[in-house]
Amino acid sequence: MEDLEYFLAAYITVWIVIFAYVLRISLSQRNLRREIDTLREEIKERQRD
Amino acid sequence: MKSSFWVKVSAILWKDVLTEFRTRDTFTSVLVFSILVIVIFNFTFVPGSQMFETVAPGVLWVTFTFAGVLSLNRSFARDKEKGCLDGLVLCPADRVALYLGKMLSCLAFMLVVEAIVLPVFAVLFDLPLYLPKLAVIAVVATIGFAAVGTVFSALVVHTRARELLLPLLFFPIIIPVIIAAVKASELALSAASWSEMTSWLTIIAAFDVIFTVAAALVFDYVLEE
Amino acid sequence: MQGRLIDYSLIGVCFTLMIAAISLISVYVPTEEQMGVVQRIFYFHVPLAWVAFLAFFVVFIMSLLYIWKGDEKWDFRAYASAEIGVVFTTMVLITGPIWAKSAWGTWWTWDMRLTTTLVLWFIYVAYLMVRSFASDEERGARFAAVVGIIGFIDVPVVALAIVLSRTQHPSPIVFEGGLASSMLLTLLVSVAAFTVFYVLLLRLRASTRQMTSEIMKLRQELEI
Repeated sequence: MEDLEYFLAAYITVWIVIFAYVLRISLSQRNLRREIDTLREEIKERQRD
Repeated sequence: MKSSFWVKVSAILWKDVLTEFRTRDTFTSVLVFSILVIVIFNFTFVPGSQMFETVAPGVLWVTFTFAGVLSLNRSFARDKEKGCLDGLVLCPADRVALYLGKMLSCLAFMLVVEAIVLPVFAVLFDLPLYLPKLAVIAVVATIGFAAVGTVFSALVVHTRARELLLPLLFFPIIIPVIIAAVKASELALSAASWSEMTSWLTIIAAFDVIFTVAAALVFDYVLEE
Repeated sequence: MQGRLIDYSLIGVCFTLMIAAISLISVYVPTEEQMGVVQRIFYFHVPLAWVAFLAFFVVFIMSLLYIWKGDEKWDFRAYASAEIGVVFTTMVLITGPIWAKSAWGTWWTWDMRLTTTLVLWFIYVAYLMVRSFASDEERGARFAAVVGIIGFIDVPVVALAIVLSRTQHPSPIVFEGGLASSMLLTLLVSVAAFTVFYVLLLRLRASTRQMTSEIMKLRQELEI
């Protein structure tokens, strides 16, 4: 059953890397979107003044 | 038109030769460094063992590669420090002429270093001093080093940590040249005939042609507008 | 809005294909007789490698387009593809030795595929470093495009040099005889799943770059 261990090790590593990468992208995307929104609002406020 | 192209190329080449000849600081340090690398390698093997013949080509090419990256580092960095880079970019020469001039100056510099290191290497590894095959391999492979290295050298002067970045860019790209040069040198040192080395020399020559053309085409984009 | 729709349908397709691939790999496909369970690594190792090569090819094309057209949207895609390619190559370089250790009894052999993959990894890591070390964004994009082009041209030369230098070694055998049709089906579904996943990641990552550059522009606007 040593075979299975090798297989699982590879399988789990791949999914961990994929999840970590997707998580990183989506988190950074969320932060960036927030930042864009605040910046846009700031610009609007300045234009009003 | 054609003559003026080569006039420009040789003007750039001559400028680099003159600057180097006046100070000789890069030359001295690269030369001493190369010999040091060979000496340090010597401590890692048991002297006089059979290993010597099999590792000698590897040692030689590691030395040449390190020496190459050191001299490439200086090529454009010196121009930038002295403000010469702006002049080069502004001069009314074709980008291809600019590339060829710098490439030939890098090539000439590395070849002079190698011409001195090769006999030292032969002495330290107890090889015959007359090594025409090795000299030919060195020339062909160094053209490849210079072809790729010139572009990267121009690229890294505008980045942070340029001395670190250059080898990271340069080494992976020239791996085929190193493989072929080491294999050809093994054959040369075991007194094989020219025809046995042809396939390796062809690979290096193909690399030289492909990358000289590609580098000349993209060189414009690593210079500042 | 149209972009959103494409994203959602891609997510749907990707999810379905992934589920199909996982169930095919773990349940449907027969265990290979000689190598045993570990051979199942093959069904995601090969698709990962395929996506990595595809990603680097895309970097090459996008770099050419960027240099030619000068539009930064090509650069966003080139960057995104390079990063995804490095992540996938990393996974290839992790799963490969695990499989090799169990199947051939050694972690690593210097054969053509393994060595070329390793060299590719180095080239594109350097590509990403050029971007982060460049003194400004526009310069980094131009420099990276140059590395993306030269790096990709280098790949066949590397492969050729390694093939010629390793002729005396037996190349590792992946399969004796062809692939059984059930194995081929599993492989194809898995390749399709990972390719769609790649397209999805590419769109996501490129849009992140786009947003970053938009933030830069908004900030400049605020400072005026």
